Amino acid sequence: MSLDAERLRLALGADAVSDAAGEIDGVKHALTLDPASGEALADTLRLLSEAGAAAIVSGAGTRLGVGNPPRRADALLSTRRLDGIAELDADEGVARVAAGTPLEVLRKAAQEAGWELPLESPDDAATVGGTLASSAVGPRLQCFGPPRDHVLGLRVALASGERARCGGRVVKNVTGYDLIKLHAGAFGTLGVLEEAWLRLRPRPEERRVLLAWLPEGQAGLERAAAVAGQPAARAAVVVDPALARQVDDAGPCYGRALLVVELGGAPELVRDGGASLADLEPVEADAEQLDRIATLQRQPDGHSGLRFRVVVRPARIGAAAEQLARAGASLLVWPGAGFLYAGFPLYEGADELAVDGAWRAARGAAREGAGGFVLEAAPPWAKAARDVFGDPPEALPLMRALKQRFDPAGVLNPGRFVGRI
Amino acid sequence: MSDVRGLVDALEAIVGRERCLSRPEELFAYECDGLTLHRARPGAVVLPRDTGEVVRVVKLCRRHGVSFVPRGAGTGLSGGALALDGGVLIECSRMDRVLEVNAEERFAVVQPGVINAHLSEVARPHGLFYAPDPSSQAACTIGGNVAENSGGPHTLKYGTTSNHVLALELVLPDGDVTRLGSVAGWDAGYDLRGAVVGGEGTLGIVTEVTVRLVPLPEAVETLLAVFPDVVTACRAVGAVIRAGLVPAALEIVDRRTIEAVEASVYAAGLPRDAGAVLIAELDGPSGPLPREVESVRALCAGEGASRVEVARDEDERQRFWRARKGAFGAMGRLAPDLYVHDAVVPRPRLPEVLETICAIADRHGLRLSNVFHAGDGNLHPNISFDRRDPDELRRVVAAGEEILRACVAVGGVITGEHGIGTEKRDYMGLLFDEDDLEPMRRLRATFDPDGVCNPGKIFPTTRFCVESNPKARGYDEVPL
Amino acid sequence: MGEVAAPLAELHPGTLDCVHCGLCLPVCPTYRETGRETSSPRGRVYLLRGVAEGEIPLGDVVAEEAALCLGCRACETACPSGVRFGSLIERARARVAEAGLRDGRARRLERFALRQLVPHPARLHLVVGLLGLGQRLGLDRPVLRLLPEWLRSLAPRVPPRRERRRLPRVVAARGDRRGRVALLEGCIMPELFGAVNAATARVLACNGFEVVSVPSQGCCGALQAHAGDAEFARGLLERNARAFAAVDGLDAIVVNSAGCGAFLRDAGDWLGPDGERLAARVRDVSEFLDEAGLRVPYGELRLRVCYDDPCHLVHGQGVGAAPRKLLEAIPGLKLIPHADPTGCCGAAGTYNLTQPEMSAAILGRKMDALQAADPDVVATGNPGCLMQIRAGVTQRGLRARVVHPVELLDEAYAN
Repeated sequence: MSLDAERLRLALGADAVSDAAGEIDGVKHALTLDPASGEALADTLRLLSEAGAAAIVSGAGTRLGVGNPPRRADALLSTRRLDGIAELDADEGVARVAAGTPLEVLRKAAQEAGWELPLESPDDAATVGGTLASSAVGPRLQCFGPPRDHVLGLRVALASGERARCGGRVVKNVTGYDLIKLHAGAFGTLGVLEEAWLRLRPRPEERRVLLAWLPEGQAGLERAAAVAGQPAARAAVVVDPALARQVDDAGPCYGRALLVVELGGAPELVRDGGASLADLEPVEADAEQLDRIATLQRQPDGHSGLRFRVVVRPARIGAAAEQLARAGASLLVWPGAGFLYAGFPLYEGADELAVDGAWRAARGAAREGAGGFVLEAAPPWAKAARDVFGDPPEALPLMRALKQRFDPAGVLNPGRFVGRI
Repeated sequence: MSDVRGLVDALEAIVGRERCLSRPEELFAYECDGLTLHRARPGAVVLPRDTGEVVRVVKLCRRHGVSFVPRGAGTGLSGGALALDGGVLIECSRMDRVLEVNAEERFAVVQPGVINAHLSEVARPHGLFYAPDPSSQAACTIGGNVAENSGGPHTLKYGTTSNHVLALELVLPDGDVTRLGSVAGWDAGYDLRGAVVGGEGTLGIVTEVTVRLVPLPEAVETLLAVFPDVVTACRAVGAVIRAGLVPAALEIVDRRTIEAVEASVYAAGLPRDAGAVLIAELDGPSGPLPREVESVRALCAGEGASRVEVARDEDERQRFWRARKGAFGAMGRLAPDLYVHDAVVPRPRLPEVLETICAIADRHGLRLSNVFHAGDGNLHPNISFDRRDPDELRRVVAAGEEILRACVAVGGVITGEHGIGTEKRDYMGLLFDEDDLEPMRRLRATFDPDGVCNPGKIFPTTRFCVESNPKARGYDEVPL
Repeated sequence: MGEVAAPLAELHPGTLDCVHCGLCLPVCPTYRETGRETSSPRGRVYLLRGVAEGEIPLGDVVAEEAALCLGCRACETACPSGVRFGSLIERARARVAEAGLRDGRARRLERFALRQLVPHPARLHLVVGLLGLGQRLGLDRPVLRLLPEWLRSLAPRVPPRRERRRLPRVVAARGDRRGRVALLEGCIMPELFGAVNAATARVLACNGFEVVSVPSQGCCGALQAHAGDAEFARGLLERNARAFAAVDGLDAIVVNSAGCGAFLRDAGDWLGPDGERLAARVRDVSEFLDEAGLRVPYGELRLRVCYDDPCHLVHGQGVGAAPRKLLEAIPGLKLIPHADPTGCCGAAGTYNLTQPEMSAAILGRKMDALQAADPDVVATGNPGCLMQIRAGVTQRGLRARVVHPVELLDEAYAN
């Protein structure tokens, strides 16, 4: 089961194979593979599969830390070089992009064409493929929803080296099974995303960002939920008092939670949205504040603390927030979507007990909210003892069976997914 | 070929004699769904009342190596609800209860036999509705909608069934029951819920669905615009979309449809020489609406509409929609059979494809008209014909294939709403090669390793791309 | 091999109108009750087509389903392709009867009653009179106890003799004379609903129409046709066609029984041009008054009323708005809605006698809706429906009165 670097160089070209070693969650890999094209990617996988090797799939690597520690890793397989916007139809608002294209590049191109990219990740350097594969979201998650909703078609390189397409280039399509729903959010365990057809959104006519300080406790959350229900609300995020400074460094600090709101759409609706928080005496801000929220969505990073992504039924968000806060979390809350990011600091000499307390709080909040949670960032020793994806889903046996059919040899991200698939 | 005869007693023991049909004439009535071109008689039909009965039927069938097929109201247009292999048809219409409506959290839990329009009716007093609205919504069931990932005119703004299904209860082909998805969403693991939606009833039997309900729009405005031809109408639609507007519906009917409608009892008072009619519906908060209506009106006029009307009241709105909804009935009266095609092309390519389709129809001497969801490029060419005329039947099938090829040639796909079913199995090769189909086969095999759940659907029956082989398409009743 | 036509061959062209879309399924009462395709309009048409094309035999299943159909024609209203379902089923039933497929004792009893009793006014008058006598003497109670539950509640109270009289030859118009109409008195109506006929004549008179009674008019034949006795029904139709053709100077032939009205309006199918001439003059009383312009009554009726559409009026004749408009014109009267007013009540001619379980199930849904609305009065314009809904009201112990809309108008004019 050793990977012959020389053989790989011969097959793929010297520039595609490097001795850059590394580790993911304490599991080391000796090689980094950078195929330059879809064909090369497929060839790489075929060779890996023939060698009985395992690869960790990576885009820009911004969310490589999310997932269970790999069972084994012989190489890091990067899609960085699969980069570029192949087509952008400005008439229909549809784009075909290589999976290694950074979001920021596509976002800019969409904007110039008069459209908006409905994909976000906490780090804008993230690639399209990585965002889709890891279900990444950013500050506008309430507005954009899960990344898979915006995918019209995919080309995927499978574990044994075949390439397969699913979906299509059109906005309405029921030809065969909806495999897009399987690959998106699969963390690369069923195949490596090569290329995607994406649907862009019309740009909002008007945009406005407001900051406001919320009353304490549940009343504050309820207020925020009401704002989130406005037709023009694209983002309504409640930032924990402990984190508020990082979003609004200029304003006063009352020690209260900060509400960051982005309104967008027809001027009448934006105006109504603004009026809905007028009594909170909001301050005008701009997209910069949302970028800072995005930054907070990737903290803590696992070294200095634990980061949970918790989803509950929106009606139950108050209880979830309370339970997490009581356990010592700093929170970012999206009341309109039932989303919470909970950060727990880990101090020098922190141990299993500390992690356990936070874990129970997250799990309790998720269970009571009839939702789920993911421990997105934690030190490797904390991950080793638990499945970072939380309570196993009822259909886990089916999921294992699916993985078994797509990747029986365990080439792709073995052990990283739900149930350590 | 499944041999069901020996099972009838056992099936009756599960669902009762009243809800088990096995007499030849009864089975005859179930030999096709909304697409009469494809027929296959089931070995028996059962009408279970709840998940427990479905489980027992499935287990019984599996024990005896007999296949089974779920069916809703049988309004599907791709021959999806056919027991191609003579197995047991599991008719879900008796599972028709709305189990829960949660107005605060905006979801409903329903059994698969609940009729689409009925769900919206039940949600209405709560200020909510169920958004996916296929044309057959007065009769089709939620279970069927889930199987086909149904759309409808309002898909343009609201999305398809997949965007509205939060969770499912599924009886797997081995009789186990599993839940997929959740009300909160964002579930960990593979989105099997998303794979089952649009799975055409081949991955198991859906016995409960949790759906998202959407607030009724504050205001609705409907416009009817008359154009000299389809090209200008499509250009107007393009202009509306590029202007950043997201209408709730953008429907176009072509000259041939207008002629048929105006000559029928559905006449809506359209000018007979109109080249194309666009029905645009805008909905949402009432504030921006007047301005958006004005924009659409101006854009239509700018692209050459000879007249643009805005409905002044509900009656007028219904009259506008009759121009579109009457198309089916009007075309249906022209001949004994009606073939409602379904394909999608990139929206900007619509005008050229429509011209191609009309040319194909003319070349084959067929009566064809076009009705389409202009906003998303989803076409529905309708062909009136008599299936008892073997030559006309042959021409209808040939024309259908040419239409699909023409759509694929411009970057389109072979179905936008109706699904593959029996009808388009052998056209999968127009879009997907074996490498593309293999992962789909793996998905299918994961759920149904024994191949007992709705066999014969979706995948091509012949291993080579597309052959004009009527037998392969099952037009006779030879099971495959 | 000789050219032997498959059974039901003459129905074949009609079955081809169906494009199998299924929009008729949700409005069909028997499909709603059973969920079976064969008990739906689409399924029944397909069965008939199957027989005509030789794919299935004309046997028990087809006979059962033809009998199970209510003939309510709600499917015709829903059908986008114009399938003439009522006519297809009726003709199918005739063929089924001819093939001797449903020839039990009940059928023979039904045929006897429909041929020998119902169309003969004198005999019917006698029999009903005896029944009435029996009821007044209390003799009915022991007999009723022997009958099944559904028949018991259905059995109507025979009205007093004074209400069972025929209308006078001419009822003079009141106020300015606007025209002259004939009233179809019918067969059951004078015996069990004589008060409704009298009210109809008075209301027409109040609206300025002279009402004449046409000699030798009689039973329209609807019940017989629905039961599959086509030849006999045609004979009755011919008789009426001749009777009414003999009278001119009529603005309309007014009918207050929806079942009769629908049948007469289909006379063209049965009798050709003569039938069409007859059909063209037929109007339902509500339709007629609405077209002519109702003279609004002065009298007030402070009542909450549910109007329930008889199938043969709303589906069979397309009349739904007129009765409601007339009722709303009555001062003080409030029309309140109830669920699914155009859904069948389960009466369907003699259906409640021939298919008691299905009829009771369908009535159950109707009564659920009416019970929820809790009106003072239920108004419906067909004798079968009146009997059926009255039975439902009795069973459920509801307080509502069940009357013909024209009776409410009559009360208002009297006030």
